Amino acid sequence: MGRSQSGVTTKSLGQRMRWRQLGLLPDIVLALAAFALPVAIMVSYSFGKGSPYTFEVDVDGRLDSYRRLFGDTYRGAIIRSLQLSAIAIIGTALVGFMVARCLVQLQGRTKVIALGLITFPSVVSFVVRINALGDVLGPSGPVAKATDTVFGTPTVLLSTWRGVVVGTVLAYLPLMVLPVYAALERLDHRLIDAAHDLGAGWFRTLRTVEVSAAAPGLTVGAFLVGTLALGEYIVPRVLGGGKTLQLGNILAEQATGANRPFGAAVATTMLAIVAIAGAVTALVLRRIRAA
Amino acid sequence: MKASVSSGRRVNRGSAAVLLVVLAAIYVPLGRMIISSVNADPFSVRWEGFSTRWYRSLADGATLTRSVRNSIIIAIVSSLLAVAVALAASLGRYRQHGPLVALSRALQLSRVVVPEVVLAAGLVIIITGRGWKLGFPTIVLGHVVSITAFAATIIDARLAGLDHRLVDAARDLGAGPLRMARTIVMPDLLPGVVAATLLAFVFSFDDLLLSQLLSGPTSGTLPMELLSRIERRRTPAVDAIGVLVLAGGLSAFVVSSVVLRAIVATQRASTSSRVEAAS
Repeated sequence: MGRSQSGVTTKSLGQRMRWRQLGLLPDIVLALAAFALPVAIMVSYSFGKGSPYTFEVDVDGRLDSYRRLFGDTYRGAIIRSLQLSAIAIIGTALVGFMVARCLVQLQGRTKVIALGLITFPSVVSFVVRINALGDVLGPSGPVAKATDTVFGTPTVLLSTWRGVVVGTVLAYLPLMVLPVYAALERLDHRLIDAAHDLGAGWFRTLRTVEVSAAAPGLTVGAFLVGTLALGEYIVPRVLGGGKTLQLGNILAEQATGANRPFGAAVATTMLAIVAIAGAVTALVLRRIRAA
Repeated sequence: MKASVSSGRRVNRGSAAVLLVVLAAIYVPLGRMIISSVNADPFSVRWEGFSTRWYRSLADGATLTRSVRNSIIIAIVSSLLAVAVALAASLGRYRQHGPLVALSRALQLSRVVVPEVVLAAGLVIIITGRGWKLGFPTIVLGHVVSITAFAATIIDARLAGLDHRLVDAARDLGAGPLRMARTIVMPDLLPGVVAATLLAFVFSFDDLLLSQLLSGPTSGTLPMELLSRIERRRTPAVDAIGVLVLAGGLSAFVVSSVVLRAIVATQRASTSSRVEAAS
């Protein structure tokens, strides 16, 4: 790229700038010491037996912790966490697609304001937002009042599983809206008009033009929402009344508790689920790009 | 079929309705929180008149004051450290290849996708297993290791948009690395660094899981205090704290957009003056 004039080849320039890679060292040391190594040790602890008196763990390849985790007591929590992830993905995808579609259609000032209104809550404390939502879903909130007048019985979502679902979908909606919005922005909207002109009905246009254009955004959003919902800790505590615990809650309790191999098994299971989800996401993205 | 020959995009009624419902679901709770915080009724059921008693009651909470101070100190220290480490890493990776670069990218991506609770649990198991004490330093360590990955992602995105021909041109004209950083890279990178710092601050201030697992007896943060108050009993005092946090978030949001806009504006001005001087 015009380097020949200065008589320096790309390679020697690249080598001359190698010292810059020293900047990587603080981050690498930090990430290895405070992230990769602890997580790896924790994974190894999941195959061991903890001492009740000291913090020591004897790693001998036993699978007791996994037997306990997949046994009757805790199986429900695993299933609930996977369910919450799945429902959160489907809910945010349906709602987020409509929201992103509307944002793309808006113009000028209205668009800037709408985008700002959707992203602003992200800078407000998560606990504060979820607690405020709890009041709306509670016995004296508008949801209970509205259902009371319409159906004759008030629907109280606070301290229920459905409340946890509503809270999770609302909390993670921006993570779906933004990637889908970015994908739809790239869509040439004249394609939609062309599809209409060629006689495609609204549903066919939606499916073949808009949803396929949004597919990369939906995939990335699904991964983000799914992994966050899997480890969710705050929403079940605030909106579920502590009754519907998820894997995240169990891990947070066990990590500081006496049975460290069990906590480690919970963490390892979550890591395995995230790794599978990540591999699937990468495959899907590759197929979308190839198509 | 509707008229197809339209220049602008039509706003679909169905998706507009969904957007309005979503905005209502976000802002009605926040509005009710503001009302409850100034409502004299301790059960927030009926309007019993305007009152500031819930705000005044906050001054009595010693643990609350301490948790706010802890949160602010931890957020400032963590966000500055994280952005410094992230900036060094992003510059170290920019247009570089090799095993170190690959390792740092892998560590960055895995920190972004691994659930926070797993990262926190790993750290706490190691720290307590070694017999080290939990407290401020361990919270900051957890925050920095996690936030750095996110901050670096933002700075990377900004660096990717940098016109590398400018860097090459400066080098060909004999500029040294420091001069290049000062005159070419840093001005372009500044909005990204500012945005990353703000996001890092918000992330740290807002964090519950890492702080909760890595805190000692006196290093509790505001989100922890809020959660324990909520689980004890929902009172309008919690709403009053929420309103103050909301106001803080709103001002951070406004200040950051004003600052970012000002930076972009001065850059445009300086670019055009540079072009004028050149021609």
